[in-house]
Amino acid sequence: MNITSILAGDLQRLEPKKFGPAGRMVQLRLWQHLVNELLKQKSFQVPVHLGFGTEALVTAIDEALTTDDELVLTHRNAVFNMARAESLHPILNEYRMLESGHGAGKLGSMNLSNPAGGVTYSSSILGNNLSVACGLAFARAIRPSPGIVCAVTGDGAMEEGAFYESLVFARSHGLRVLFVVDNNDHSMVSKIHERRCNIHIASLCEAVDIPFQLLEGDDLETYIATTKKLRKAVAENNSPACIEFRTCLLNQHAGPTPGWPTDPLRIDLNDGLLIGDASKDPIAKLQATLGSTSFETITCHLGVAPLC
Amino acid sequence: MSRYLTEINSIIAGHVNSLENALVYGENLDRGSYLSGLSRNLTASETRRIVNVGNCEYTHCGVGFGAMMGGVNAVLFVKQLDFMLLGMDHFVSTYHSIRASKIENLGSFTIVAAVYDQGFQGPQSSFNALQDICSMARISGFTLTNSADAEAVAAREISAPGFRILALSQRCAGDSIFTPNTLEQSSDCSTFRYQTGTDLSIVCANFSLPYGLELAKAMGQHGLSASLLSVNPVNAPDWSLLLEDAAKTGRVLVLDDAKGFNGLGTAVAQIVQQARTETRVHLCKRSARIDFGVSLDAFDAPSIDVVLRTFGLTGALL
Repeated sequence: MNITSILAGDLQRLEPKKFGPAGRMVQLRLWQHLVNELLKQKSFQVPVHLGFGTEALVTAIDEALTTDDELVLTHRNAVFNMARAESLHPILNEYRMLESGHGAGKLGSMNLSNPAGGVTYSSSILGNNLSVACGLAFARAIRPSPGIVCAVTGDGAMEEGAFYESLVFARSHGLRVLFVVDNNDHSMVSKIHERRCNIHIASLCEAVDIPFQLLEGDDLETYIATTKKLRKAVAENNSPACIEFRTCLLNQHAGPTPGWPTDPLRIDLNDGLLIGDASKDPIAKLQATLGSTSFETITCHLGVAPLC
Repeated sequence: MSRYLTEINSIIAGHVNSLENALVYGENLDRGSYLSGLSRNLTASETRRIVNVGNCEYTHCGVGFGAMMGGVNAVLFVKQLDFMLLGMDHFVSTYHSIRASKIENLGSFTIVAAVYDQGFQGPQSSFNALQDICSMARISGFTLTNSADAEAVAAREISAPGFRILALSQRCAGDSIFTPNTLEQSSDCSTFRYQTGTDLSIVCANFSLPYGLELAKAMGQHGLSASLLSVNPVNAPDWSLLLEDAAKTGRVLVLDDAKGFNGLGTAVAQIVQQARTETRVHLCKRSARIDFGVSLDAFDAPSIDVVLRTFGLTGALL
């Protein structure tokens, strides 16, 4: 596999009409692989938090949001930023701290935003982005403008009091915020049961009268349909909603995977796009849903067909 | 003569009430005592919302920054500066990220907070060092000690893109407000000068202006003339007015009633000493010391006799 030749290409977003959300989802996997390989080569000074295993969730959010909407992200924003970018190069350039990066080389990885792509703000501080999202939504109410604010958080960040405060604040003031919880069962290396009791988000949302939906299984069609439905409800009712996605993070917390010589996790583009146990990999599930021919059409176009 | 709090409220409300696309919010903002008078006289309009909010100060701060990013002029009224310690993450991290970003049509975010340091609110309500918040977050703050400062700061800051904190003293709430006859200021509101003298420059930080006023008056009674200035913790300050005055008098007394280690008074004393090595500089700083069971943090402003002795001045009581 000649990674150098792929990186030398224009790395443009796949044409949506031709390849649809499935194509985009596969492309997100490829782009993450490329970043992971570059991380192995120590090409960047900044740490990057990849999201192998979250491609279905990210694609669903990307599909459900309109051009009027904005995204407010966490430190694990790399794959979301990829989804909203026209090309991978400005992201790579940002990680290289170059002026041609999306943040002019000043935001790095964990704070990377791209207003032109609808990513308004990303925070490296757990829970920090949630109240900022509420403020952005308040601005939309004061300077009447359509669209919603989608605030992404995780099962670690939602342990912060900021999560509860923001749910209450958004509901109290009728703010158009779609809260998205990416529950990958990890806060760095601690699983939920290793650090806290279970938090039943549905009950929490019910307590403050916020619609809630739990999604798991990585079925792209279901994910997109449900996210669109909740996005519509937020926009029409002038009131927040919350979705929890159960995901399986396939990479290390930050940096390359493997992260050290004896790391049991292995991700290598030379092994192909898929990673590990097929029952946990959303791209493997997508391949099964699409069938080999359709999947190969996408991978061929991406220049990685021989790998699959 | 107007009372301090009444006048400051009138000035701030006047500027807030002229904002468009504004979110004006706070806990118990529009009811009860109106935050002891701090938030009286605010009016809503089609594009200016007055919003009473729940008790979640961290979120209030994040909301202000989000609204600012969305092009809105946000003004948060806060009963006590202490509460804003819960927002430090946003002051430090969120605003730093915003400043590193290219945001079109950036709005403004202003926090108006009262400072309680009379000493009888209990040990958990004694934070009075606005400068410490400003230093940690590298933001601008302004202690409003008189009507002229307040008007100048409010006019310049409340609708300006970006973030700042305006603080007023609850300790002075019922006092008659100082209304200077003359006012010179640096363009960034880091320095104000109310009178010019030739024998001593009295430079007041935080809420020490009342002490400086008394000393300046006492200097006059001894046949001496003092310059009287106040300084604010401003990001990248323009100290030229301060240094010009120090060069003229050759003697600088810095008063700082903020509780804490070092701080603005210390910084100002250092800056003057380094820039004007021939100048005699004396810093009178509130102690940062707190022992269990005993509060030793009172601000002891020097008497005129001590000041004269310190600077080798010979005055004759007129």
